[in-house]
Amino acid sequence: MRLTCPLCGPRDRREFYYSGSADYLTRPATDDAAGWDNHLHLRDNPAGETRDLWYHETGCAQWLLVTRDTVTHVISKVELVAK
Amino acid sequence: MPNLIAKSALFGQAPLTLGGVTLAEAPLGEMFSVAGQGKALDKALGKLGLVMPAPNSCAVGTGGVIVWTGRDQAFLLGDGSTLAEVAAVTDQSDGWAHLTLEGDFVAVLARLVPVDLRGFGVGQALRVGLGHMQAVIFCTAAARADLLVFRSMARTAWDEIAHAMQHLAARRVVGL
Ligand SMILES: [Zn+2]
Repeated sequence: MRLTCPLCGPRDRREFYYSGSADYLTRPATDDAAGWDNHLHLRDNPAGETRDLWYHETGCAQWLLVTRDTVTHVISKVELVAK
Repeated sequence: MPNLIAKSALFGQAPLTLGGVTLAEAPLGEMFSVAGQGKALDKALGKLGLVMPAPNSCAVGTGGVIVWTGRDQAFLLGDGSTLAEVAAVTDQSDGWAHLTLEGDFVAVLARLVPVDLRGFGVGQALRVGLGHMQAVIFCTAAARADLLVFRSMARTAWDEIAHAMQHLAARRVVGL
């Protein structure tokens, strides 16, 4: 598996640290416990397109937003989280 | 403050030549991390004959060598003190080990680096894994690669590269 880092170019999977769902980028708007419980613990498990966060650990040290398909394994997009 | 003696990470280490490739420790020099962007920084770098490098590139100027190391960040191998007013500058000189590989470095590093280095040449730079280490690899002269690893990993880096060189030299002896 390879990810094409927007800065470094195509790189081997072992250069990256997998963090988790891209949902972590969107903090709950309110302070209620249910919202935070959902934010921290409840995840969808789609068969198909999924978006998650990877860290380019032995490369440029940037957080990446990866769009991939859990059925076909196609990686359709890799973006920098930082603007 | 007494005048302390600065020693490189592998002080006293003799160069190693195997199979036409020479591994050596570069002389200890100044190295600064330069993080930032904008006109003031560009102007100050201009006085050193340099610009902030594009991703995966490096350049040689009158004020030293500049190597891309990340988003809006570069390492200056040279005196970075003149940039302190216009960028986030930190002295990294004693934090890194600097090795050089002269000769066919591509064959050696192919065993350690998960990037295809065929075609890697002058003006290019990478942040990449070297074995399990984080490394910066850059090229300012033909058939020569410069490698930076964290100083604490200098001996491991040396041993792993030397090991790869031994493998290649041994294969050559038996005609592989
Ligand atoms: Zn990267």
